[in-house]
Amino acid sequence: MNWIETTKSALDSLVERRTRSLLTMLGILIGIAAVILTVGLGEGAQNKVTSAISSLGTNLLIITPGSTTTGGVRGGLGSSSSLTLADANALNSKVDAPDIAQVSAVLQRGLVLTAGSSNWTAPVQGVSPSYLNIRDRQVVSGQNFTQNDVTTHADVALIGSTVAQNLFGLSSPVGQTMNLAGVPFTVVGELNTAGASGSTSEDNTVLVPITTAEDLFGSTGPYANSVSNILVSAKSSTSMGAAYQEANSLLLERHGITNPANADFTITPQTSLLSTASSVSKALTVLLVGIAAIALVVGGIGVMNIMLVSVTERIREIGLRKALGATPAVILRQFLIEATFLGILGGIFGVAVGVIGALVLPHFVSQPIAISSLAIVGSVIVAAGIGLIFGVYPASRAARLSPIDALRSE
Amino acid sequence: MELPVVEQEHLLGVPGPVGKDRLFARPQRGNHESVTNSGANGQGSTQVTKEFADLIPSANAPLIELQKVSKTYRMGTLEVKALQEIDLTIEHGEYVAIMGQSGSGKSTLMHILGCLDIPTSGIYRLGGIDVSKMGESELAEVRNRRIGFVFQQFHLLPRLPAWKNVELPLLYAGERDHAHRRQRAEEALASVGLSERATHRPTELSGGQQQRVAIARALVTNPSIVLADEPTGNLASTQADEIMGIFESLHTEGRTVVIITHEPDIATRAHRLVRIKDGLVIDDEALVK
Repeated sequence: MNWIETTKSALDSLVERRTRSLLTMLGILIGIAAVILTVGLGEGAQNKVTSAISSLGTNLLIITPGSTTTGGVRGGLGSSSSLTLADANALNSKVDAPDIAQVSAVLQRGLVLTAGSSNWTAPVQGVSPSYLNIRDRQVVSGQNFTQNDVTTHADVALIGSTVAQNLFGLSSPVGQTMNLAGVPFTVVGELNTAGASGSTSEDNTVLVPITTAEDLFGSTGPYANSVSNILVSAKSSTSMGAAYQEANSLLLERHGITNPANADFTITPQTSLLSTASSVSKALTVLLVGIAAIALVVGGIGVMNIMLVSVTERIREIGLRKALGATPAVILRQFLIEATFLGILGGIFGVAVGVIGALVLPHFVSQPIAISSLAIVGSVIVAAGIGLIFGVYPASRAARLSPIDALRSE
Repeated sequence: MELPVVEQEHLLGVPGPVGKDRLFARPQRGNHESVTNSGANGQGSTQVTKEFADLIPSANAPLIELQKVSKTYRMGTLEVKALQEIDLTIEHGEYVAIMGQSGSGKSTLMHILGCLDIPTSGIYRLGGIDVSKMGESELAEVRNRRIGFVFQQFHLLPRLPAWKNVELPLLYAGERDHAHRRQRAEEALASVGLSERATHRPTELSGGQQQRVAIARALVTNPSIVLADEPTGNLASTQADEIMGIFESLHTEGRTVVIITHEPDIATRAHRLVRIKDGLVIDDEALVK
């Protein structure tokens, strides 16, 4: 009996017991759908984090003050005020740090903004004009402020789209005036929308020249002359390492620190953020896939169970087929094909349910689900394999039946 | 007889692999001169040809030859001797009834004759081939090519139409041509007078018609023997008559028919009657018609 005939015969027998076949497939179906959805969720989350981190800018090094040890207590990131505007200017030196392209110090406070009768609260960041390049942001209307504005402590501001909407509604914000802590500022430009990175919205921001910000926030007290962080862009992604080294040694020297372990600042390359984020989502994916695998094994046991019932039920048919000349190999093949088809069909339906879920679910939960072609192809193959593996025992039982006993049984 | 088949073939210098068709070639009815291989004829003359007689079907050899065949079943600690050193020879074209009460060993004999089981000891030659040491797969092939079974319970697959039931042995014989299979199945059905019922399912047929489908299935591979196990046991007497009529016409056509039964009425319609009791042949007589 050739493969085609055996396959036909196997399919016939599945169709004949269609209710039971469908119920058996359900186990595999649920497992495969779970695999598609969990892999999709993991990948979707990873894509989201990756794009959020990429939107921070290219070739970016973020220098944060901190991890000072005060009386044996190690503070968290940003807990000290070790970074200054002078540090930022020093990093901008083409001689000391040739691999650093652009530098912008950032001085940040949350302030209440008012314009006419509207008011809004947003983080106000004092930055250099180069900030926009470093962070990969653009001005969509109006223009960036200039180095001259920095030198003259000009009261000018760039605002994000969220701020523009809340203060000026639909009218163009460029050229309008808003008050920051009672000081009138002229809006010179509106930033492009950039979405959220992590929990902070990049669109809810006000950028002012760093010198103006120093005036605004007050240059006295414990945080005098200090900045919130310094953003540095390397010349290219390949010179990230060099830029890192230069920034690190320059700042250590400037802060008079000989042992790098005692550094009062932290340099975080964007790539390390990326790998941290992706390793977190990978761990999550592994966990979810593990759960899906358990579902699949349970489905496979279901296949085995039903195939055993089927062998018992069809024992006289098996006996007859043997009497008519079916060799044990042919009987084995027929039952293996049946079990494998249960797996494949369960897998295909499972993929369908998983893909529909991946398309529909994001409308209800704010989590993107990626549809991975690898997961689709892989899971159908895995489903077929599960059918095959869990079919081996029932099929070999059928193949080993003695024709006499099989024909005799009632 | 322990040498593997392939080596034996090689001994004789037969080229190519051992073909199933050669090994299990059907003796042609009415042709008692020679079959495929001349080496099979001179039985016992030399060592080589003697060995060979066991492997190549021969028209000269009896169709069925049992030599001191015993079958012992073990039920727990008890040994049941179902057959005790039976000698039995059936020639081509004979119409034999094997009769015995239940427990006489006739079912065991039928299983061994049908290659559904192998003897515990003794030799069974089918068309000159020793099948008593064969493995499962080889036996399956012998059954497929040389034996047509007719069972008391018909054993038709209920979801298949009559012609597909008849076609089954051809599938296992590896016949790939779908149209040819169907044609042969329909010819077999025609030979039992069921041309019109080819597409009916067994449930749409009477018991007698179902048994005729089963006979068509037994005939479709053109086997050496039709082996019927209580073929009329589940039938009303008119239908039983009909079925026995078919067996008689098969015999007239020159086929070898072996019927196992416990009913004297049925048994005496054959041309030779073998009585079995307690695993022994107690009587073997030709019935004058």
